[in-house]
Amino acid sequence: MTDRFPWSVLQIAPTGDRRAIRKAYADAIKAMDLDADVEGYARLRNARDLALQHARLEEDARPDAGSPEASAVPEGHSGPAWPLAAPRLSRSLSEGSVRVSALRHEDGHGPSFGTVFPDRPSEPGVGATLELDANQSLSAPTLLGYGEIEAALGLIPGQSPFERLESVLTEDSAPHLEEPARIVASRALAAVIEDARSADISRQEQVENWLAGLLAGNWPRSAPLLEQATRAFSWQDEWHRFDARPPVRFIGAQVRAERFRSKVQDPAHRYHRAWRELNRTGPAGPFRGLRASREDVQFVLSGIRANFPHVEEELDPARIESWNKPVLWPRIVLGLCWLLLLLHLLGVSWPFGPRSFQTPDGTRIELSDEAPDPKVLGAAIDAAVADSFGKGHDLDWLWARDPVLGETIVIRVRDALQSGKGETQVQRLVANFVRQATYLKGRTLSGAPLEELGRLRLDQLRAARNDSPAACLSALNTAQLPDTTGVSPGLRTREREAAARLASLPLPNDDAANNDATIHIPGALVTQVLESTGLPETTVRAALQDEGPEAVRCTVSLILLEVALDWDGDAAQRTAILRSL
Amino acid sequence: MLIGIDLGTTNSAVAIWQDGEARLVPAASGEVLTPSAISLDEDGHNWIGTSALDRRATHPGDTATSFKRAMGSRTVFSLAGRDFQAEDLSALVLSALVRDVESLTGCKPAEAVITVPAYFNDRQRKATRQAGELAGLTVRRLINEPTAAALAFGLQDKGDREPFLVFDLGGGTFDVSIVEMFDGIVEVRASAGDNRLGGDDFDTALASLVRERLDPDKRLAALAPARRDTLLLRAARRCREALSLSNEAEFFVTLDEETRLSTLVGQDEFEAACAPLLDRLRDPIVRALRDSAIEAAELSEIVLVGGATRMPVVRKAITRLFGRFPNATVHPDHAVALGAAIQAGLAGRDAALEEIRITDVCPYTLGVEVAEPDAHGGLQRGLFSPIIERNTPVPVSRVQSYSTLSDGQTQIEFGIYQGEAREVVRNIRLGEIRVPVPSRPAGEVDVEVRFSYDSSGLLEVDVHIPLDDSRHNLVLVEEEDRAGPEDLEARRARLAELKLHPREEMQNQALIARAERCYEDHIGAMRHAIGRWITHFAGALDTQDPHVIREARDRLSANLDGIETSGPL
Repeated sequence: MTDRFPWSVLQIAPTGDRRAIRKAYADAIKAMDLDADVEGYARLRNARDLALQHARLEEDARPDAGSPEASAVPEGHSGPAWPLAAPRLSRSLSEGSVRVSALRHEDGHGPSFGTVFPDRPSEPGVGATLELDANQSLSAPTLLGYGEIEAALGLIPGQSPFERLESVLTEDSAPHLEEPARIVASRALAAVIEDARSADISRQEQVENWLAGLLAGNWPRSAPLLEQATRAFSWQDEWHRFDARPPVRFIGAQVRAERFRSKVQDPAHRYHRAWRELNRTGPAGPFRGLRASREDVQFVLSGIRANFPHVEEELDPARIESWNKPVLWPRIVLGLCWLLLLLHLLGVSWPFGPRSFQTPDGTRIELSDEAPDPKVLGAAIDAAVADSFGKGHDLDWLWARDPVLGETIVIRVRDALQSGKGETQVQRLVANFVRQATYLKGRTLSGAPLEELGRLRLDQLRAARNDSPAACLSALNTAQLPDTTGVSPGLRTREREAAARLASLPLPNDDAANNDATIHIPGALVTQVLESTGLPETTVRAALQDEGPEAVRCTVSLILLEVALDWDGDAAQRTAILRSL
Repeated sequence: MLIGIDLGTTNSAVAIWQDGEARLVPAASGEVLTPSAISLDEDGHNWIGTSALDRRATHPGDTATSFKRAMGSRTVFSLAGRDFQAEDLSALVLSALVRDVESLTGCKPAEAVITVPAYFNDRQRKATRQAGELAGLTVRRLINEPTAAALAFGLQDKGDREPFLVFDLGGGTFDVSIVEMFDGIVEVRASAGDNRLGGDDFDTALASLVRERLDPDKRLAALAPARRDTLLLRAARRCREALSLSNEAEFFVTLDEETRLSTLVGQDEFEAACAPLLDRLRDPIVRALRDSAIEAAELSEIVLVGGATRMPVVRKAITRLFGRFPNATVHPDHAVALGAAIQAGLAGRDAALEEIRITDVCPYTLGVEVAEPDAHGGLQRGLFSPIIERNTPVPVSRVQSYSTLSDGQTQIEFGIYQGEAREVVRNIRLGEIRVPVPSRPAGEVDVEVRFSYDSSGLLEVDVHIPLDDSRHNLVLVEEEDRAGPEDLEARRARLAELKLHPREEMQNQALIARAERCYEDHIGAMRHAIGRWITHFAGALDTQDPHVIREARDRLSANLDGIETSGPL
């Protein structure tokens, strides 16, 4: 109703007189309180805009007032695949400056973006740009033979940089821009940018739109030019906007993917391993967790999907699929289980969650709605660290020495608090974790430090045995102590000291030494074990193979550790035994 | 009485609407511009304006400038052992302006219109409002600086104007507005800007340009950072202003009694050093033009506002961008305050302005956070769904429909954001509203979210669920505001503890600060002479004889004028 008859809202008779429309609008505005009648204001404004639009159309319809540019832009060449309008040219186009990428269009291949050149500059000031182009090719020493390159590429001498850039990008169907052509394209692009830089804002925008369309429409051939163009037109400020122009958003996805790819090549990159893992072909095996943590892989996948989805197409879907399935753990060598468990807990979530906990190095760890407040979490973490490493130690301290362990603790505490555990429970949990880590790290040592840790482990195992054979066995297998096990204050202090001492050692992630399940135990030691336990030899051997009743296995391991510590035989052999226990 | 205040990054000004026109109010110093600078001593005595700026030379650690750039953030300024936020310091500047009005008109103004950069976000606006309240003012309205400037420009002859562009480059912020005037309606069509671009950035660029060659012996590098930066930035400001008048200017720093580092800077190399900053001028202009669907060629004028537009490099860039010369007929430092006073007159329903109406836009997009299922069965979270798009005329009320995402969902949470990014993390979070919804299969519960934005910039969110006809409402209140009136009272009391010099005394203190600054800036015989003058003036102050003091003050001030107009050499 008002759409077709806006004048009634303005309380005037239908008119094409813009002055009258504005006057009516002004009078109506002055008579109302805008804040009190928001809808009325919107209606009034709408009516005014419509009436003005009608007036404009009426003026344009008059034969003598037709705008020249309306007929100069050929119809249907703005590219159906992208909602991108061809640049509206404020000046009339000179002959030959409108070009259609006829080839691509007829084939129906790919979106045809920019099909209209910004009109060839006619002012003398811009003419100088073209001259500069010619000078450069003569004077620049690195470009000796540039003329031959041009000739070899079949380029027409004297083309404007616009035409040159378009012909290099479009008149060859090879997907990649090979070296000589890349140089030509890059130089033409530089000239185009320079042209825009010295021009006024409308022309700049024309050139920018044309260029964005051309580059996006000719990807991946345009790939080596994207960074240069992005810098010149600050596209990085635009592409994350929700109303970014489609070609700019498209270019943004390519550039960001490229930047990610080049950064993630660095072995020190946080997600290097996950990325390499995803780039392997074929389904991932059950040991995939060794190569990358599930969280890391999921993080990289969700990041790719959110930011540059086309990258996923380059990966093997079978690989991705297998990462979405849970792992069925086979029974493997002692120790491997909890190592994987540890790795499994290392990952972080996408760092831009609504709520997050900031770790000392600035990484954000996402907190769900059920998770505790970041402050509460921080306090709980520091308390747990102090409990495990001794007073005066906090997360910052730990992070500076072992960020991997730090991160594990953060996530562990978060999950524990989230599932409603109390402070004591959380601290026990972390203490067990640190025990594990200390044990793992200790096994990379040798000599006196290893022996010292061996004695600590011996006392831990004894404490566990006093609790129950099951507890002892769990301590043997996981280096953790159940809650029921009483730990004397003296032992606890030694644990803390050991943990703090080893804090700056990295967690070993390559557990090859441990995979070697056959460790030769010298007869002398076996004899000592037999003597100490008074058990028959078959029982002892079975226990050493992890068979037999729990109590026996526990006792045998304990005694073996005890005698190995006091044994003064071959040092290498002794180290191997101590490490295996 | 209702006053109009331009609370600027570098300078502030106050104007009143009187006898049918806007009039600027001079400060005690006689100048109409009050530098936005605060200096403090251990006893809590404060210096505001020019004297504070002078005192920066001798007490860099106790002086704060450009604090507007920290508005709405939690940045703390430590002056003479006391901590302040940008709002507190701004409140001190505002109260100085209020006193100036009081001493001119004899009555204390209670209400004000304060200007803010158009591209100030919601938090920065709330902080500005709070600064006004801390200064004991009721802030009737915040208006956008380019809109105020457009009012001052447009009302010069009250004629109709085709769309024109206000180019407002201040000390710390850059705004562009496209405005049209017809039949007494001042209509802002679109605004865009850059909150972190202004004259200060050109100073920094200039300082880093000369840093190496100015200081080959690394003598500056050995200074304490606060003093070094103050020296460099003061020298940069001085040099930049000189470059506005000539093609070459001296960049000099006086280190101590004997050392004066100096180098010459040419217009061309300055321009080259500013190129990255000049490039950033383009984007807001393009956005404003795009949003208003007006082509650059259709603009009738490019109106320059803000002190930084005096720079020839900036004017040259504008001339190139628009292919014509800008209009510099309004006073770049006065227009905003005058426009604020006109707005004050409008708000006060002054008869002379009965025929004027002004309509503005909301320069940024407002919306909620949503999640979308992706092609892999996962959920892409943290996406921004706009409800009021930027440059929509205000007041405005818009509604959008959303639905539940999972089966049996019983609650929907809407994070409310402001900004232009597709992902909410890049936008500014304004608050959130949680509403219970009836448990149904995914997608079956519709939820209508209505955003209402009134002309003073207050956002109201209404949620309606047609299924059970329940309604929920949220007026956005910032955390800062939630602290309540007690907190505001406490902060006000803390500011009141600061001692002001009595007006007579203030003049003397300002003069001493200025003389000490001159002392710092000179070497050799001139420095000794200034030192003697200061001693003499201090002696005159000790006599406590008003007559003697006035005489000594006039003499010192004339002497300082003499050396400052004759140039540093």
